[in-house]
Amino acid sequence: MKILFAEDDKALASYVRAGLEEEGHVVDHFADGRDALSFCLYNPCDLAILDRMMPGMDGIALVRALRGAGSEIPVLFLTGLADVDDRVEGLQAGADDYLTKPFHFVELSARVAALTRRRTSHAEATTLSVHDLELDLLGRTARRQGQPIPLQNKEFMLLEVLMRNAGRVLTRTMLLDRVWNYSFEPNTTVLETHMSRLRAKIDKPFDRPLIHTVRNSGYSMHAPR
Amino acid sequence: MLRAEILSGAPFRAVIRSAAVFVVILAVMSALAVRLIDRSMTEEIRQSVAEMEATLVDVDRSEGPAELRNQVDALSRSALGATFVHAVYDRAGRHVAGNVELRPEPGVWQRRELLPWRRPGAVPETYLLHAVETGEGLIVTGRSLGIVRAAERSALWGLILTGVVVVCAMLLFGYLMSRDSQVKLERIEATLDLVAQGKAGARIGAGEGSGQIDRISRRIDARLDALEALMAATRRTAASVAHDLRRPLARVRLSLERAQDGGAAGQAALEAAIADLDSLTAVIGTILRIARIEAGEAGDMAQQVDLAALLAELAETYAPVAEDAGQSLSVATAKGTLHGDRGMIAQMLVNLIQNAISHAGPGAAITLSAAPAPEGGVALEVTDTGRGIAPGQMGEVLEPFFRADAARSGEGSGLGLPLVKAIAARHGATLELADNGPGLRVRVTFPG
Repeated sequence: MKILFAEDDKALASYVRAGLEEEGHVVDHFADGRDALSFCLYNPCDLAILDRMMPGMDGIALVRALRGAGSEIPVLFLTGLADVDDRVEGLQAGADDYLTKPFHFVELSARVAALTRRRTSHAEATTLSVHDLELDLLGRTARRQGQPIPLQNKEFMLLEVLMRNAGRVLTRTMLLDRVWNYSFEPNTTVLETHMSRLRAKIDKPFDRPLIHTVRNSGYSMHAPR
Repeated sequence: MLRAEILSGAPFRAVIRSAAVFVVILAVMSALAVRLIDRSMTEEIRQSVAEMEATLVDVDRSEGPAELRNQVDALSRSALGATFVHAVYDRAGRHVAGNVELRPEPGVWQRRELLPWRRPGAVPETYLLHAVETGEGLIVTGRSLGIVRAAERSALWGLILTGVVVVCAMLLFGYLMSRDSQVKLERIEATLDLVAQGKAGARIGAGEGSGQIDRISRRIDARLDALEALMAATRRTAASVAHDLRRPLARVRLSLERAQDGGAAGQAALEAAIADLDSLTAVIGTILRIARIEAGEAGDMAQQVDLAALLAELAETYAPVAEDAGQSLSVATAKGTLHGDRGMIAQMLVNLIQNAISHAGPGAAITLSAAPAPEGGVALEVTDTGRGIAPGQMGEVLEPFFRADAARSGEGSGLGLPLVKAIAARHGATLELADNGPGLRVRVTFPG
């Protein structure tokens, strides 16, 4: 993947850049917002990771300029502005995801993977399936091995996010963001409670589990390997 | 206190202005009074001269010129001779009687400066004169206007005296008033100086007076009370923030020391350190959020919040969490909408629910409700049937980092209820904690 990375903190930039390159991405780094914009307008990239406060041009203005120029490049904000209002503002400006500093690298890596995959994902699909589990998005029903599984609303939403990102790691905060949106901060026991109930329905009665805990990162759904 | 400051004070300047206006009015009134006195007294004198003249003409006509001469001479010699002047001329134009020698034009009123006859050492006075022709000759009658001048003079003196007394009284009164307000203003100044120097306990201490300065002084004192409370709260918060952040920092340091040894234990220590730093970051984030909300900088306050939908969403999210803690969570009533920031109101309810789940204990029933308040507006309630809070601690739980149960201090950040308090205040809502008998009832009433 070709990633545009705009960040004026040198130490953080080299750390993130090294991490992304280790994962096989090509990273173009800029410390100035205007340089990042002009590069992005003439060089196609797969993803933009932007700081919000930069010399030259702030991240919000950069995203607006990109969207104004018709660019649909996925944008991830990586910023110290952590308030709920800042997040809402960032997403309204046209960003696709928002990660606040300080952060775990696995969190960034998981979000990069989710964002770069999103355009090829089955956005229009009405059913999702992983191994022997099927989810009907219109009828809002789940079946495993043909057996219907009654799900609560939040459990259904959680399962949908997991299945749409099958094979990828989803961190706890990503799941909280996707299912409970950005407007308030529930604590992590909320996610753990709903996840354990979902697993009790989806995995427990069957021989092979589909939802896997990824140590220190989050959860992942994939077919048995 | 400087005299110059009193004399330049607003009350004294006001008095000076009114005294000047008073003096001008008095001068105009005096001029008017003098003119009035002059006119009415001169008229009276004119009448008395006319009467006297008519009497003399009558004597001349009925008793003859000789008798007239006698009468006029007698009059001239009498006491009246000082105020009245007379002259009688015969047909040949000779002066035959009277105490004055002059022949004014008959039938015309005129004024003359005369030295009264037979009165040595007298000063000249103005006389009003009239002459009339008879068959025998000319009769001249006149009267002194000195009495008019005297009346005018004493009226003028009376008015000047009044003016001087009134102006002096006004200046004295103004000086006293100005000194009084100067004393009060200096007390305000001194108090504000003390507060600026950090002595937050200083007060003006104005009495019960209803004057403007007294009213303002009482207002300033009330504001200083609020300011002092705020400063004390800020100091307490800063102290508890520092205190509360030190413990996890010490833990992080210990973990990192252990991690230096390497190995599996070192790895676990590093993970513990990262978890501690994460919770520190969260605590600092919440402190900043509370600060922003209290400063009125956060939130879009114009949103319509549908309470039925919000409560349903929260119950869906938290009922399983409550069940895992051996509790139940349900929505009693959910009606109405309110204006405010949806995210903030959701966060407020989330904090109250999480507070109930972690403190009410197993077996408690947690109830959410949103309903029109009897006093107007909308009331949101989160109640539980758990252990509740001791009445003495109802206020303390709203302070940052307060934990009802000191032994379980590891649980929660101690910032949940302070955030609720800040959000309620941002919305102009009142936050009440009450005993639910048993349990805790938290009620947030939003204005309509």
